[in-house]
Order: sequence, then C-alpha cells, then structure tokens
Amino acid sequence: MTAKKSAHTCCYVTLLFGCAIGALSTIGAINGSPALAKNGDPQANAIMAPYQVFNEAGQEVISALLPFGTQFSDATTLTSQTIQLRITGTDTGGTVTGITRNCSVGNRNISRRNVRMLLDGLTTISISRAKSLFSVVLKIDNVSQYQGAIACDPITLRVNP
Amino acid sequence: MRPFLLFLIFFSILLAEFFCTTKKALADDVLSFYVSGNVLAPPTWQTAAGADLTAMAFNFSSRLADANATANVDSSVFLARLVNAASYPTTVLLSRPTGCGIGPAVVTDSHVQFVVNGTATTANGALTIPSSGTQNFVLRFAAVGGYGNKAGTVSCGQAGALTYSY
Repeated sequence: MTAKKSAHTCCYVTLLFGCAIGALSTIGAINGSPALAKNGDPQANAIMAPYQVFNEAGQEVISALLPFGTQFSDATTLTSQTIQLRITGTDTGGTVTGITRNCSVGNRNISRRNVRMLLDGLTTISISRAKSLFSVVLKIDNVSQYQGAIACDPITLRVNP
Repeated sequence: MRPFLLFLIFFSILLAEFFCTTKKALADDVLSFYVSGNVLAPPTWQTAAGADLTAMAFNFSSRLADANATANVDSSVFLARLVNAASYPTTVLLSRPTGCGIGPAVVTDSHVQFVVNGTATTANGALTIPSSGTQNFVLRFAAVGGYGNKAGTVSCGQAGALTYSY
C-alpha cells in the first residue's frame, strides 16, 4: 500500500511576547446480467471479468488503509492521508462512489452524515475516470474537541454499473 | 385454440428474454477500507503551573541601571512550556520584538536577543524547544549596544512571537 501523505501543517499556536512590565468486498465476482443465451453472442450468459483495484504502485488490492496519523482536537474536520487507486474491468458505463459508515473518535460516535469519502475531490466519479489513478481521501466533519482513537464501520468503494 | 396457445408460449419466451437481457447489473463493492489514527489535545503554550498561555510579558522592574554601560540588560526569567508537540526536541519560529527602548534610549533591533535556557538567539528564525518541560526564557538587550547604564520604562513597539506549526 502506498499512501501519499497529505499536508497537515494547517494550524499553529503562537505566543506573543513583549517587554512591557507587566471488509473485504466480493470484488465484483460476477458482473453483468444473467442473460439468456443467444446464438452468436459470446457475451451472452457469460461471467464477465471482475473489477480489479490497483494501488499507486500497480499492485492489486482488496482492502486499503486510510491513515489519519496524529491529529489534534482543535480541528473541526479530520482528514485522512490521500491514497491513489485505479479500477479495471470497467468496460461498461457507470459510477464509482465511496460508501461511508458511522465512525467514532474516542468514545464519541459520529454519524455517517458527517463522514465523506472524496474521489478526486468528488463524492462520485465516472467509471471511465476510475480507469486512471484517482485520489481517495476520507473526511470526518464536526469533531471539534473530540479526542481518542479514530475508528469506522466498514467503508467500501462501490461500482454502480 | 392450439395456434393461440403456441402464440402465447412464444410471446412469453420473448417477454422473458427481454426482461432478462435488460436487467440492470447490481452494484459491486470492489474495495474495503479501514482507518487508523488518533486525535490528541492540541499543542499549546502553558505556564509552569500548567495554565494556558497566550502572551508572555518580560519584566525588567527588578533590574537597576548599571554603572557599566557594556552590561547585558536582561529581563527576569519567564517560565513557560510547549505541550503536546508532535515530538521533542521540536522547532518553533522566533520573531523578536522590535522598536524597543529604555526610557529615552532607543534599543537597536539587532541588539534584542531571545535567551532560552541560557543560550542567546540573535536572529529571527528556527528555535529549538528541547522538551515539553518548563523552559527558561529571557529577553536581553545585548551589551554591545551599551544599554547597561540606561534607566527608564522598558517598552517595545512591536511584539515578538514564538510560533509552533502543526
């Protein structure tokens, strides 16, 4: 897994001074409709090639880590490091979307409404776009003052043919 | 009757093929993600007693003007600490105060030094904070300026800053 570290130097604490006194998915095992056989149609009733996902290094992956590293509770949004992925086996049209779930920071639960997966900065991209490397980042909003370990229910990348 | 039944069967087959071949494929979850990480209390400057600190005021009131002009003019020690930095030693950005003076005497900006744990820093820029523990800070008007025998209210027109970025 190759992770691209995103910029995290976004905050500062300044002290003024003076001198005043003072889960593994099913990798699209069967793609396509169970069509009736038709003479002369090689695609009919066939199991099409499954989707395959590759990381930036060109390795096929079935799961991926989105590391948040160490972040601080004065942030209102937590942003994971960015990873790059590519999907093949996508000859048909359609879209790719991140399916987010509830997360938690420490003992505070965060509704999935506040969890966003951005693909190239968007919530949904076309399958044709996903054939080339695209960025994936997870954002958890409205977490101000929460502290503790970051965890999420299983998040998946979904292809809608 | 028989031709009608044959037609009905044939038509049913056609309908079945139509619906099956146009059935939309189901969505596939092609990758699962897991996450890791921790959220900590943010870095902050604190007093030695642990109170949050937004400004430090250096006090020169305990100092008497020296007969010797070429003596350093040092403030009292200010105790402060930087907590929750990502690691230690860590680097902060120092910006020294400017436009200082002692009574009517003007202190040249380049003569203003920032002393951390006894080590004077003579230029703005990176400054090392060795640990999260309490550090000794002193503001100094360097002896080279000949301020040792000056008396009067100490003030600076522009405050300095210690900035830790994260």
